[in-house]
Amino acid sequence: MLNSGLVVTVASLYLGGLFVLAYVSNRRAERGQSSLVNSPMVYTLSLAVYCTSWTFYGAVGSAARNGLEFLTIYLGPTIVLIGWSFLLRKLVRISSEQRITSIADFISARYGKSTFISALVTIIALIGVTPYIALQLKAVAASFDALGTTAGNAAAEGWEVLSQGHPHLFADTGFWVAVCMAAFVIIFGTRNLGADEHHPGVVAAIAFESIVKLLSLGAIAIFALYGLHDGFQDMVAKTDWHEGVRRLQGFSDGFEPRWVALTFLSAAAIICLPRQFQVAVVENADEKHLATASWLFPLYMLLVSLAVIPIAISGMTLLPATANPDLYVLTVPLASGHESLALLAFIGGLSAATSMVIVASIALAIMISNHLVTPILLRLHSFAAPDGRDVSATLLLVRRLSIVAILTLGFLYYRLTGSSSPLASIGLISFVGVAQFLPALIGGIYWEGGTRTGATAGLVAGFALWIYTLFVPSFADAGWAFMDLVETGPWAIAALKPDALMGLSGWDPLVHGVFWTITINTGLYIVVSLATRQAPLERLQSALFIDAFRRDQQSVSGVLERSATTADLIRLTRRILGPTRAHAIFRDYERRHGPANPDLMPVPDPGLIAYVERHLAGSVGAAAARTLLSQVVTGESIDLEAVIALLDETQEAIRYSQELEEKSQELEETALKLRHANEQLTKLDKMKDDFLSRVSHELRTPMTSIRSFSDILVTQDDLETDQTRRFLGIIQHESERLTRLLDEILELSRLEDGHVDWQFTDVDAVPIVRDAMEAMRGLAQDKGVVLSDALGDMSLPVHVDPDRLKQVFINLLSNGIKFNTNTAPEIWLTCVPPVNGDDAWAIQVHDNGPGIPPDDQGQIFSKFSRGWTQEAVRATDGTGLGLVISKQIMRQLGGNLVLESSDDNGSCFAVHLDALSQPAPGVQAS
Amino acid sequence: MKLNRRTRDMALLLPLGTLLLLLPPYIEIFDQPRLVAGLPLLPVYIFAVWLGAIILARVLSRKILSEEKASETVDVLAEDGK
Repeated sequence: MLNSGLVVTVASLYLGGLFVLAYVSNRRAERGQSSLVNSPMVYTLSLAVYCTSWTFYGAVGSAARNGLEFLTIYLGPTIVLIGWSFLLRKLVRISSEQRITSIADFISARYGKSTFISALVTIIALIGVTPYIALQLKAVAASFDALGTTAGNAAAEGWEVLSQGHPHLFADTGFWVAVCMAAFVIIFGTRNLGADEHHPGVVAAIAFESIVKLLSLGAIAIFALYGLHDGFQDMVAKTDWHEGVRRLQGFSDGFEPRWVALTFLSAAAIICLPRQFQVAVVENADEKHLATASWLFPLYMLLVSLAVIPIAISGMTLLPATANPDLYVLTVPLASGHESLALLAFIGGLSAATSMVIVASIALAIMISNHLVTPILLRLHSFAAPDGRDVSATLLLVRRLSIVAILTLGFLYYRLTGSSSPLASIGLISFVGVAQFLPALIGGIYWEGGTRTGATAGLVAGFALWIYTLFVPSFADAGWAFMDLVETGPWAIAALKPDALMGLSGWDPLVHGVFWTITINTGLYIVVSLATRQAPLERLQSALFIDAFRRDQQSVSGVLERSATTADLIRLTRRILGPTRAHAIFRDYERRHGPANPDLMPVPDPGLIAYVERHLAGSVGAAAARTLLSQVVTGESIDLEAVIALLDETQEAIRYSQELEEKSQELEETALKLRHANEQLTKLDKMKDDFLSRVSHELRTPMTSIRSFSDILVTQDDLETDQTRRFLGIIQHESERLTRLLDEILELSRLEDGHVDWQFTDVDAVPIVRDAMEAMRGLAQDKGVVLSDALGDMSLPVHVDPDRLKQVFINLLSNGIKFNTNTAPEIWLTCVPPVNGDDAWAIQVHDNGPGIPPDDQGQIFSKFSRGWTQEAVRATDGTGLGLVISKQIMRQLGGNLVLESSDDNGSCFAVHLDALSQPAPGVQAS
Repeated sequence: MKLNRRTRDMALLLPLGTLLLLLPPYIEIFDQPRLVAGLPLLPVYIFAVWLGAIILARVLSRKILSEEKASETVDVLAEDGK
């Protein structure tokens, strides 16, 4: 048993640490050193406020009771997060542009800045979330009591302690937690009014708490896995007999409706819960943080879910059946005597609970003060008078009182109920309540047709049905009220029974509630929207919301035609925001739009009025800001034509952006082509340089020997005749080589330019080939190469220049002979008739030489090729231009020369020629 | 905020595909009393899909950010060119 004094000390230290952390973060942010708080990691961790004590204790309880179903609570948000670029990002973009302060503000701003809608949403949120706050207080109190009792009893009692009546107020842990949280939120959540509702201290604190609860839950899970069992496999194998463990391995019959409904609900909750909207949208400092959160937050939830399973299994199999599953996180380590681990679990639960209470109460306090209290204050004459006193302090006070009110409400709820209703079900009823915002929210940012009346109708109907189908039965379940109503239906009409509307009995109550509230809500929203018209302001706002990604919001300010004096505007801003911020706002506007002379007041054009309104909205909400401004603004009218022009502009913008996209694609393609061309040019340039240096080198070698020998001949008179003759022979040989090289280069260039006289006649190609073979036979015999052909007695009539064709074959044969290093060198010719559709015959020259290296195969027909520069080529006295010239010739003859194949076993060149249909004159097939 | 169509489509496909795999009837296919490496098939399947989606989301979010950065650069260049 843990000494309760120790528990209290540790908990107080933890909460004290939280205050210090928030204080330091605030100070750093004020000094502009917010790099740590303003990071995607902290943003992601702040989203993890989603995992409250409902997750920390309740998920384990849910896993033990309902098996795998608990996963849906984390799968829904995962879907929303990984689809961030569609929904969440749009919400963030709109909110930062419109300076949205809460989800109520968001919905109201979309539907014409309606005061009624913002108040309605606030009330729904308040009723939906208060039980949730109560739940957190209850979780802390229950876990504290569980720690204080002996392990075995804790398992049995825990929760039930509460149902037997609460301790005295000051002895109640829940009370102290509520007081602490109220102080925290008042200090760090309401430092000043507005400034975009960013609370760096709070965000830092809840990010820290997210780490604490994950580590704490992880520690218990690892203890359960490796302290109590030997890893996952061992746990599964040892505990397979247990009914509850079976539920974690497969679905029970008829799980589908609840599975789908819970996935939907949790996906809705991650956006619609006021605290989630607060951290995900309002506190977001940079859209890019969403990109990181899109995978990191699902990972966080995956780890949490993974940790839940071993704790649930250990609890079910090792603790008595009477133990409360909602407290397994504490009782599993307690039962095995690990009290310090239990204390860690308690701190984790405390952090989960406090982070939720902090953010939820900030979000709700903003909503209550902006949407419930301020509109009422604005009706008071003294408050509303344009020249009244400074009210920024009053508004701040309202905000603080709201926080106290919310926590009081939550605390009262917890004190009064104390039912043994499991944690998960209270949380789920809350989820359904806030899910009522979904149709108006989603419709508001994707459907231009949604009207204020439609949204109101949907919200009212959904809320009423929620109260009737879920909230009322939860009271009846707890046994306080409405028992008759739930049992028999109002006036004993069975078709109106809250849990079986229209006779839909036998459904799971939650699925039943979700089905009715969401379908009726959505249906009414759509139908009523279609039946009503939007006011001009609504049209304007809907255009701004739906095209949030496309529009330059500043261009819209001219749509609202209104005028005011600058003095009035300044006075109003000072009253609401205080002199310092008012001054900053006007100075900022001047700097951006104002006259060159800074002494002049900004002109009160519609742009300035819209600017002021946005800043006021950032503090008191869109609806209240509009009401406030209407007191100093005269002649407000919405220029309908301007709105229509705005909508046209949207179409224009879409078209324009499509055009731009096409253009940019074209440009991209062109750029790609240019890049290719450039690469090729660079390559060619390099080849040309290579060629020139090669040619110079080739010319230089014979020139050098000619010069040196002629020098000797000139300077030395006493040379013997033999020697003179030999020297002259070398000079002659080198000159010939020089001439041949120049001839071939010249010929190549003539061929390329087409300056060659071609003597085309109709001839048989076979005798030409044989002539060439005869011409080369001498060289072949010298080298010991066996020369043969498989042409037989065929004839191949073609239209060519016979001498040129012969030149090609001589070149191919001489190459084959010169480069053949085989011990039994061989060259043979074959002829291949045209294949499918191609009417070119191919005469192939095969050899069994070493083959051409694969790297060079692509370049042998290029005159700047590397092959040309190889030592082997030069050693054989060739110029290396033979193949290039041959290819050029074949092209001119209307055929082609290709390398068919080349490997270690030899190469095969093919000469392609178009055969004439009738036999050439004078050539008869024998 | 300009993405390749393919990236945009993938960004939509990822949540929808993940949702489909985690809802009945697909998920029921894996509801079998079988062990995979000593662990029950169904939870293994759910966590595997989940982890896969997380990994893809990470890849995709980086792609989205880098493409947007590129298109912003293009815009800036276009502005300069005017």
